[in-house]
Amino acid sequence: MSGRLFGVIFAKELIDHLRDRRALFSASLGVILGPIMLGFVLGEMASDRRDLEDISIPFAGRELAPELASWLEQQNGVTVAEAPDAPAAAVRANKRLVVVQAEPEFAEDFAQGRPAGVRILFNGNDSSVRGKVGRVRRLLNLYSEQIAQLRLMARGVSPQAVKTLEIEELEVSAGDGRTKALLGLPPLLILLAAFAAGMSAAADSTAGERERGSLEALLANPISPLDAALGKWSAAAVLAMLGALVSLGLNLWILSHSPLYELGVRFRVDAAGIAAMTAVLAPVALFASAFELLIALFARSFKEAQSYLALAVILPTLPMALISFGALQGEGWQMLPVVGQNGALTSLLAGEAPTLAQTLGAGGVTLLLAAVCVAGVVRLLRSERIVFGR
Amino acid sequence: MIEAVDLHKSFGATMALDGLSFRATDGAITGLLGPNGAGKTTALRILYGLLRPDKGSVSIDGVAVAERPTEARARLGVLTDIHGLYPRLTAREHIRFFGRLHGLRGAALERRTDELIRALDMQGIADRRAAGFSHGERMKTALARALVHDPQNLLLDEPTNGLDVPSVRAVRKILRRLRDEGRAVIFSSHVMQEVSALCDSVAVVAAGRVAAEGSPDDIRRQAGCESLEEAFVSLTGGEPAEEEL
Repeated sequence: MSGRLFGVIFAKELIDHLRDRRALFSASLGVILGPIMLGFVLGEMASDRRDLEDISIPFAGRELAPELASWLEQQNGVTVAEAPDAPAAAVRANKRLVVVQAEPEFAEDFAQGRPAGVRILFNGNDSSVRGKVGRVRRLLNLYSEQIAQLRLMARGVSPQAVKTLEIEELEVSAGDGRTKALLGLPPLLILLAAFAAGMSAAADSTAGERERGSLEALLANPISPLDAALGKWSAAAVLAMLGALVSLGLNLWILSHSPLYELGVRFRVDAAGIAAMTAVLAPVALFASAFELLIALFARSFKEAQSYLALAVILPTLPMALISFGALQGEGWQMLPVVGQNGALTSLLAGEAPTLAQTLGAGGVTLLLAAVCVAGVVRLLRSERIVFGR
Repeated sequence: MIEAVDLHKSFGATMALDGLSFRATDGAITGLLGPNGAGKTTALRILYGLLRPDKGSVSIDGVAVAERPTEARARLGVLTDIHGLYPRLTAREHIRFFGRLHGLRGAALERRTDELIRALDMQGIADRRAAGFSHGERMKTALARALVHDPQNLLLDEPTNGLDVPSVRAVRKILRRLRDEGRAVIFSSHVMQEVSALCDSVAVVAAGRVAAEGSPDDIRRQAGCESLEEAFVSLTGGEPAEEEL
């Protein structure tokens, strides 16, 4: 009758876990915090970008350079604002980031065709000011160039004569590199959620049972260690999968509600993509819970198990770090658990097909490792030292 | 019926059992009496198959525990020394869970659960979670779940430890009723009065073996002592042995 009663244990474990409010709370935090941070980061990046494009330029001495001011106002995303009375002091005090100031002789110099002085006042203590200063300088250069061309034409000289370079800026990273970098964060959050969500359950149903002495009473029933292992594993795996799916949903919601297009990021997921991601995550949930059960079973108390697990979950993510530092190279490493799923999810989020190594390869290896962990749990549940060692 | 033959067990250098043999017959309460550390708990753990003896064998109703552990355990109700309840389950859920592990389902399980709640006078705690239970309430819950499958054999490790007088009397009443129904009940204790008040047969355990076996009167005679207490002290060598596992 080995393995037949695991359903009874599964049902009991699941009820027990769902009533454990403290564990549910900490598991929820592990699942929710990541996506919230992601939303915050994406929003910040987009608003930084918007700040750079849409700029309000306080213009001191506007009356000296009315043509420049009105030219600025016609440029896309630019408004000219009232300047403070003492521009330099206001900028120093961080009341304004950038102020444009026309020199007192501006009107006269400009009319005479001499270089007319314009100052850009800025406070370098603020790191975001560089982009704004650059934008203001580009605008002023453009104006200067256009006036120069008009003056040359007035003298009968072709503007082409003084134009030696034709410079064009072409952003090529926007399509691919930036997408991969930004869409690389959600997969990591989703995979970590699978580990976080099942953790308390794994600790409670192993070390917690040892601590309370209920493991002995449970195993004194006509069940085999396999029944107990399968029941505990399946309950923890359900929680791990739930955590991963909630995290997936939150990440997708945030990605679809954040202004990714402003950041030049491609993000495309349909129902088939979500189904594929769920299939990619299932082996991870099975592995994460089995791995955590095995580690936690060595601990004599719930608290001890928690500290073991906090360290142990670094292990499956270690190859990821080594790969990103370039220490491990080659497609073969994509068959490792977490590594492969991370790659598969990243591709799926961008609407691309993952590689076979990332899906079937990593899925197979992950399931195999899960089975090894469960075999380890069964072995430990047969051990007198584990069952009675308190 | 439970039969243990020549049980040996050591933990590292510590010899816990050194050739312990005894028999618990149907329709009788058999007491395992011995000081702390004599090997009672180790012996019981071997009976329900979670510890493997280095030597010797145990059979439950003729089923060898070493060969067919789950089948043997199906014939046993076990009350472990630490009751080990789940704090987030109610008393009723504890009984139900163990019932399901013994193959009970549906209406039969509900009927049996209600029956035990009434028999052990647990109506007040049946649907409360175990987290706030008193010692007596925990003990009753653990006893109820051990009895849920109506086992022919019952193992109780120090069941009256720490209970108040009314609870002790209630437990005694239940055990006598089980005996009268023809079951084999094994009852371990280090308390003389408990054993002499309840047991039909006593095995005095000292240093991992049975020092004397028989009815309380037999044991007094064997030791040549007036009271069971004196017999106990003389048979077990007076000083308590080393702490067991």
